[in-house]
Amino acid sequence: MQDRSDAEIIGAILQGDVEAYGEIIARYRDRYARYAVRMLGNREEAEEALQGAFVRAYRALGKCTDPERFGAWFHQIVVNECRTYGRRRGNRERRFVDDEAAVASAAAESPDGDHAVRDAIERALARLEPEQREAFLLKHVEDLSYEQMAQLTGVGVSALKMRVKRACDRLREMLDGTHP
Amino acid sequence: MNEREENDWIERVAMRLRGAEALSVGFDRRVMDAVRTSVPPGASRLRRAGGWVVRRRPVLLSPLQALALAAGIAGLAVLGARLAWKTSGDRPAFEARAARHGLGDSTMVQFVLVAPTARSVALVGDFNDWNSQATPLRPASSNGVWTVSVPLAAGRHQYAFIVDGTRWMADPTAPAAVDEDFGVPSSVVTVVEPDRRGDRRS
Repeated sequence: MQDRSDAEIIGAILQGDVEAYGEIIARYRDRYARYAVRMLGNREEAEEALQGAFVRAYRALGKCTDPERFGAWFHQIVVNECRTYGRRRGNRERRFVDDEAAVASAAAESPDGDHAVRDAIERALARLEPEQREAFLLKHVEDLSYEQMAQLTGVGVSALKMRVKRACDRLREMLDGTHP
Repeated sequence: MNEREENDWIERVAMRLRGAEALSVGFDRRVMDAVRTSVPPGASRLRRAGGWVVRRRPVLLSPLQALALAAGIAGLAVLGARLAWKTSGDRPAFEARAARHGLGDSTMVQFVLVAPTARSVALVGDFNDWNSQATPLRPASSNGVWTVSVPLAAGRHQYAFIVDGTRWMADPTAPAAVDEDFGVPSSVVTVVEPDRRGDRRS
C-alpha cells in the first residue's frame, strides 16, 4: 500500500478527518526530536516544545498554503516553538554548572571517556547564547545551507554566518583541551 | 589551529551531536489528545463557503429567551452580576456590570449556553488560555441550560464554548469577535467598572 503524501493527508484532515493527523505526527516527530533536544538541553522539555509545535501546526493547517511543503513549514514552527520555550524557561533553571573551568575539567578527568567528552560538549552547547546555539545546530548538526536557515529563522545570511562563527569560537574556548 | 584543522574539529564536535534522540512512548498519543480538543482546522474554510457544515446542532433559544430561562431558575446565583442589554446596530450587546464582592479587581460574570443535546460544555477564552479543561459549564436545569461564573478583570475578553469536547462555537447571545487567530469564531464580553454610585443587587 502506497503511503499517502502530506498533501493528501492534510486534505483529509481539512475535510474533517482529525485522526489522520496521527500520520503526520508519526512521519515528522523523529526528524525534529534531535534538534529540539539539543536546543533545549533535555528530552522532557524538547517533547513539550515538540508537542506544542504539532498542536500549533494542526490549528494553523488551514494556513499551510502549500501542503506539498508541509515539512519545511512545520520545521519553521519547531524552530519558533523551541525559541519561545527557551525564552519562557529563561534563566530559571541552569541545567549545567555555570563554571567554565568545570566544563573543561569534566573532559580532562577522563580524556578517553566517550561519555565525558559528549557531556562536556553538551554543557558547552548549553552555555552558548540561544541564537548562536540555534545557528550552530542548524548549520553543523542539521546540515542546512545558509539559505535554508534564513528561510527557517527569518534572519539574514550574513547575520547567521556571524552567529555560527561566534558559536564555533566560543565552543573552542570552552572545550580547549577536549578531544572530540 | 589552521582553518582546516578548525573545520575538522567542528565536524567532530557536530558528529557527537548527531545521534538520534528517541521520544518517549506515548508522545503521539499525547499530541493527538491535545489535537482532538482543538478547533478543527478546516473550520474557517467551511465558514467562508457559506455556513457551518454540522452533523448535530444544539438547539438554541433566542438571546432573551435564554436569559429569561437562566434568570428564572431557582437557586441560580447571579453573584451580583446584572446583565444589561442594549442594542448596537442589529445585534444585542452583552455587558456585565457587577458590584465588587471582595474580588479585588475582578468581576464575577455568568456565562450561559442553552444546549439540550450537549453532553458537555466548556468555556474557553483569553482568561483561561483557551484551555478546554479549565472551565466546564454545569447543567443548571433539565432544559439544557448550561452555566458557569468566572471572575474577570475589567476590559475586553474573547471567549467561546466547546461543546462535547470537539465543537467550537461562539456565544449566540453575544457580539462576535473579529476573526483573529486561526479564523475561529469567538465572542466578546466587555467588563466595565462597577457603577460609582454603588448599585445594590436588584
